[in-house]
Amino acid sequence: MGRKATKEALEHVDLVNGTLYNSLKQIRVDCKGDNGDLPILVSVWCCQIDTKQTQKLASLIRDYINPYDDVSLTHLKRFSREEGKAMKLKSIICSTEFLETKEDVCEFIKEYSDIQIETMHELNVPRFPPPTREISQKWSSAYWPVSWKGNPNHQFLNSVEIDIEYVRNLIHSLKEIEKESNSISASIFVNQENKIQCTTKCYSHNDPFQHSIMQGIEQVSLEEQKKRKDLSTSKQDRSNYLCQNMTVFSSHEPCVMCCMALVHSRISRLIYLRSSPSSGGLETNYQLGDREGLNWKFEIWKWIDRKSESNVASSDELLSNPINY
Amino acid sequence: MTDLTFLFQEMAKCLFVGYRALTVNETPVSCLIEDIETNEILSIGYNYTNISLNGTKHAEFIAVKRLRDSNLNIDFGKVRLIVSVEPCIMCASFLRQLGIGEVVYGCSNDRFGGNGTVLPIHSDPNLPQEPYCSYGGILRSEAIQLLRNFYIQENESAPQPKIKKNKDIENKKFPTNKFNLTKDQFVEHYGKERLPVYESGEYEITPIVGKGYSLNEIISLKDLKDIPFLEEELGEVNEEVVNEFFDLFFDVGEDGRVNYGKTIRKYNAKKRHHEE
Repeated sequence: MGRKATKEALEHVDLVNGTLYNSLKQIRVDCKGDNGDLPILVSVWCCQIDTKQTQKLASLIRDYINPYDDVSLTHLKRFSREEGKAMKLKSIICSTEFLETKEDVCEFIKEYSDIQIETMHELNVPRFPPPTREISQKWSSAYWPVSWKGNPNHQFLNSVEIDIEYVRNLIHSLKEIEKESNSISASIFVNQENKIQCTTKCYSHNDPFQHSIMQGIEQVSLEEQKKRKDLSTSKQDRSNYLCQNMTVFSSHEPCVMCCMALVHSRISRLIYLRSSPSSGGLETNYQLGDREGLNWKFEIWKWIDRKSESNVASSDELLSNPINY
Repeated sequence: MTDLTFLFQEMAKCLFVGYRALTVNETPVSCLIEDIETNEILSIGYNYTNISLNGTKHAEFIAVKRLRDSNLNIDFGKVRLIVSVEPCIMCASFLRQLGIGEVVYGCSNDRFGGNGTVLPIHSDPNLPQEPYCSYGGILRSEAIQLLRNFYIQENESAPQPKIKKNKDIENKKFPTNKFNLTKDQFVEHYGKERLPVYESGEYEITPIVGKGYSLNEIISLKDLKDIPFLEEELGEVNEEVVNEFFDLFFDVGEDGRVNYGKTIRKYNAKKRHHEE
């Protein structure tokens, strides 16, 4: 795969193909749908205020709304001029998910400030940042002024911090484990400090309890239970929440059940080797883990580097059987 | 005319299991596994994520594991799952991989529902394994009210003081009643005479068309005491506990609308009993 780095890409990043170090391919929803005509919308409360109130409303939003509103609106300009009304501004207060009714909004504003709101209505605005400058302009005139801060996925790819040598080693271990154990699939759970939390193998996909991901999640929880019972464990060590901040290495694209289990367990990153045609819950079906509407997302990468594994290439063939749960 | 009294009884038992789980600080989502032929309750399950520190220990997993541990050769095609909330995407896939016979749920799961609300995992033809039959709306408003009793608690015990949200659940209305079914499927499960419920979204399903209900007319103390595994795991079931449970819910009138006239109470974890 030739590197087509653009000016703004870092050395190891291929923005066009979504790969890092020519080894990890980003798995995400095909963004062709983002043609600018139909952004995903979200409903928000929009009000009119006197310009004198701007400062107060901006602090209210900053201190009491943005930290708590699950719907991030930072890609939108918060204030907009009212045409033909010199001293008036329109402002987006919060999502209607955060405060459900008009009465809730009024009560909230009254409780945390003395701002005078003149009118208020519901408004649909783009839920996510625009992918290109042209689209940001289209959306701005069609819905509400949108900020252009660059392609969010390009920014993401440039910002990923990943120790590629460590990943390479882990992938190698994973293949070794599969080969030695003769299992159908295997997983390794790794914490934030690159410390292996558990290694699991699956011998029968007919039993959902035996899938390596489910076993891994179980082992992490049992370990955490043990830690919390042990009084010598420091307070900080007791506060791990599910599999948060963990990276999961998996020999296969996990099935729908396992992908959703990883969402529930709040992992940070998944790296897998092979697709699972028909049963997989990522590139094959639904793209769970990078899907709007669920309450958690994680990075999804597929290991595409073959060169570095040339010493095990022959066995690689044997291992490359996709699975159907 | 389709008499749904049996399903209402089973769902009432199921909700009671969820209520008992609430008293050990678990999310009140619960289920029963029953033999389709004999209607015998083979296993029960309730959310166990907080105690186990494992986000996958949903009611369905607990109930299935219990059953399988006691009978390795169980044929899941012969069992019915009664579950208070529509199975999430994970559980829906799990149930399909097991080959579950039938799923009946209380309220839909707006955030994670895997039986049609968010994704149709139970019926998607692209997935391997046979699809399964699933329908919901039995004791829907009660299932929602039980969850609300949990969410108000959660806010109180949040680590940092969160922005106040509306805790006035005694007066909160219920969302539109939507079914993840085609009209034909709806008629098959609920009968033609209930089509207004399907079409308007404003009414609740009732055991008998044209008649309202109160939960305490549907099940008795004895029914609840007879639920297997419940007392040994979540404590004694007595009249006081059962009455506290009944007090959480509104009645549904003969017009199929929730009757907000009844004074209901809400569960308070700190006092471990209800407050007015």
